[in-house]
Amino acid sequence: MSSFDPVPGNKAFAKSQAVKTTPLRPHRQAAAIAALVMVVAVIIGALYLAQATTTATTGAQLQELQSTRDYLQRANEDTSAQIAADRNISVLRGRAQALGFVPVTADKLQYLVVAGYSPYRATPTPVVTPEIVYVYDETFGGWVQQQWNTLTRQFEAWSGRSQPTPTPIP
Amino acid sequence: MRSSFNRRLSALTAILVGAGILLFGQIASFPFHADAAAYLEDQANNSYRQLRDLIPDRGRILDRNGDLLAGNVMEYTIGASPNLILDKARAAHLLAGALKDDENRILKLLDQPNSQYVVLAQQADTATVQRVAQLNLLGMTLQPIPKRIHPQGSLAAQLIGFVAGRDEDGSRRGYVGVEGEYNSELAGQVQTQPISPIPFEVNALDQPPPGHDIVLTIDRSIQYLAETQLQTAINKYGAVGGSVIVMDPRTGEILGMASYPSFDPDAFYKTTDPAVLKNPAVSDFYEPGSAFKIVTGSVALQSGKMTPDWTYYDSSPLVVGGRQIFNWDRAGHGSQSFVDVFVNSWNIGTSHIAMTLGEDIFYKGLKDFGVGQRTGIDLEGEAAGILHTPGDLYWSDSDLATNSFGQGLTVTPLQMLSFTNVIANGGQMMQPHIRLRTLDADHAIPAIPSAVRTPISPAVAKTMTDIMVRVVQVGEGVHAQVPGYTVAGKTGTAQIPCTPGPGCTDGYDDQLNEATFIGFLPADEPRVSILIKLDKVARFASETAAPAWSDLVKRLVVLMEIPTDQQRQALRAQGGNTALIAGNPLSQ
Repeated sequence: MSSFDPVPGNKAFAKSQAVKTTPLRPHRQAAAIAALVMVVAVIIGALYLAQATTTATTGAQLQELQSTRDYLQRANEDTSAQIAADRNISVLRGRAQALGFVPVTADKLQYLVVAGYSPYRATPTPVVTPEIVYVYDETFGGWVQQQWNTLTRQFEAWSGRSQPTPTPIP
Repeated sequence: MRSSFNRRLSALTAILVGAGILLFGQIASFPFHADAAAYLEDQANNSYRQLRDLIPDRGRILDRNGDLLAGNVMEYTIGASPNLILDKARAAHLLAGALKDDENRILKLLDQPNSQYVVLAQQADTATVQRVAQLNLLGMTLQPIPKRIHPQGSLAAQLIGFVAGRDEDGSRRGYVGVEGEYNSELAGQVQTQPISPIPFEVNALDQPPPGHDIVLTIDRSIQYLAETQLQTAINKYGAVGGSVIVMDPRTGEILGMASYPSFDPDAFYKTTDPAVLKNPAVSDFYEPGSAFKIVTGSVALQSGKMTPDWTYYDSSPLVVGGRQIFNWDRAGHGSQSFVDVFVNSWNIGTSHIAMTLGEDIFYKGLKDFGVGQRTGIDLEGEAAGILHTPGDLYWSDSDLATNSFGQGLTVTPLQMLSFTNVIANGGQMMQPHIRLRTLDADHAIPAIPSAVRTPISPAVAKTMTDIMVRVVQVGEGVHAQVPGYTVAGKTGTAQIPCTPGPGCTDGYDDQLNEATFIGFLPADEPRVSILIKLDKVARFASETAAPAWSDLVKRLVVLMEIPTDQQRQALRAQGGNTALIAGNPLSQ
């Protein structure tokens, strides 16, 4: 018997004993790795499914909101058209006559001088501010610029310095 | 054993190398576009997405006060696929309630065997569609169909035009008038967006921004007045048609423009005569007759070769280029002054004026006024009129005389009123226009009035105004007087060209005339100019168009809040700015 033979007390003996006592260890390790991969895959799948479901639900809600918006826009147009039809000059004339109004003649009109009054006030012309067109050139610098611009506008809107404007589509 | 393994390894290597070569070839053949992102996006879209054209709402047309003249509503065709509806009786019951229709009729439609699609309702409004949508029935189809509406009915139909059919991009197409002229602005930009069938890809179908709204210079009250008064005059004087134009001579704005016969823009397709669809006030030309004498007079004074003191001897007939020229009463009147020519509307007088001026000065003057040229108004279908000048194939020596009193040349009613506006506006012709401003989202783009011609000086304009005032005070235009107001005007009875035969002498109708009256007021501070033209009347313009003009203006001064002369004097005495009352927006 050499000193390298596995005998109780030396290292070789301990190693041989460990292999003998856990003969399925390599299989368990493989199974564990496989299980881990499966668990990770299931988690990723679940996350993906959850995300896809949320997106689909949101999409459906968005479409419903778009549908509602379209309906309201149409209803507004219908109402505007109805108001315009009700204010048709023939309708107004008939209504005025029914109420006993008669056409006025020039000699029955009286004009007054109102100091400083101008009947032809200048129509305020809206100030047209040149639109800032951000061009996203698909570079990192461009992306940083776009984020910064968005952040700046949001801050200005939050601080009340200007109205928020939608981010232009690149 | 070893050899077999090597062979397999070699085969595998060969396969992998082959696949690599294929991949490399594919990469090498990949079109590296400058805009690779867009290319790839297009490729993705083409592979599984559908493209849908989103057509914007057509812009509205409004009058100067914001009243809607042309707008949009959506009508729907409601259909169903019977093969997708299982419980047809229940569906028919629900749909009958939503559509307010007969349940048996709907059930009969749904019960058709092997039917893929049936139409349940057409031209349904938004509320009805909403009721149907809330039923959540499978197999229903709600097809939106945009419709142009005109809440004011046929008011200003020829001015506005109509919408029919579609352009190549799918947008609706406008024809004639404002709809035709501003079609591209009203139609907006059609946008194409990809639609994904994948349920969790959100389709952000944002409706493209609507077309621009066009605000017109017309006032619907003035337009209504013009149309009703024209109709009254046509009935009263037995005309077959006519036109009225109301303008602001200081800006060139059209305040009202009406013609008869007209059409219903909501049912234009029912019109049997397509000629009715155009706007005669800008598209039809005619011989203006004596109304044109104001142009001859203006040219004469502007040339410096004549003054209001000029006189001539009026003997009838006058022969020019082999053609006999007569006055309207076919008599001669001896010595007559420059002013008499216009007050009494002597044809022989204007013939003498034109001959005294000579061809060069006379025709140059007419061209300076824009005779024979389009005014450039922003309405589709404007005609230029016809003016033959010396050297033209169809010009003859007698034309110099006949042109001077409005025969042998043609103008549109708008041109004739624009010539009048030159006199009313101190010698300057402002660009006639119908668009007051364009509304683009939050932006208003105004039309800036601009001068296009200055054919005469302010002094000549003042002299011609005084002469036109005399025409209305003591001349042929007395029936155009408006109590309380100083009116400047001129009559025009034009013969109608015809084919020689019975009732047609020397190429003109023996009985029927085109009667025109043009004028403006207040003469010293013109605020409005009006033309009224009656087609095919059997009497003179002084007996038809002039009183019709007066009837119209009596109502118009109230609508436009134009004080009488006396009231203006009183206001001036109180320190009021009557120029401001007259409302010259350019002075603001």
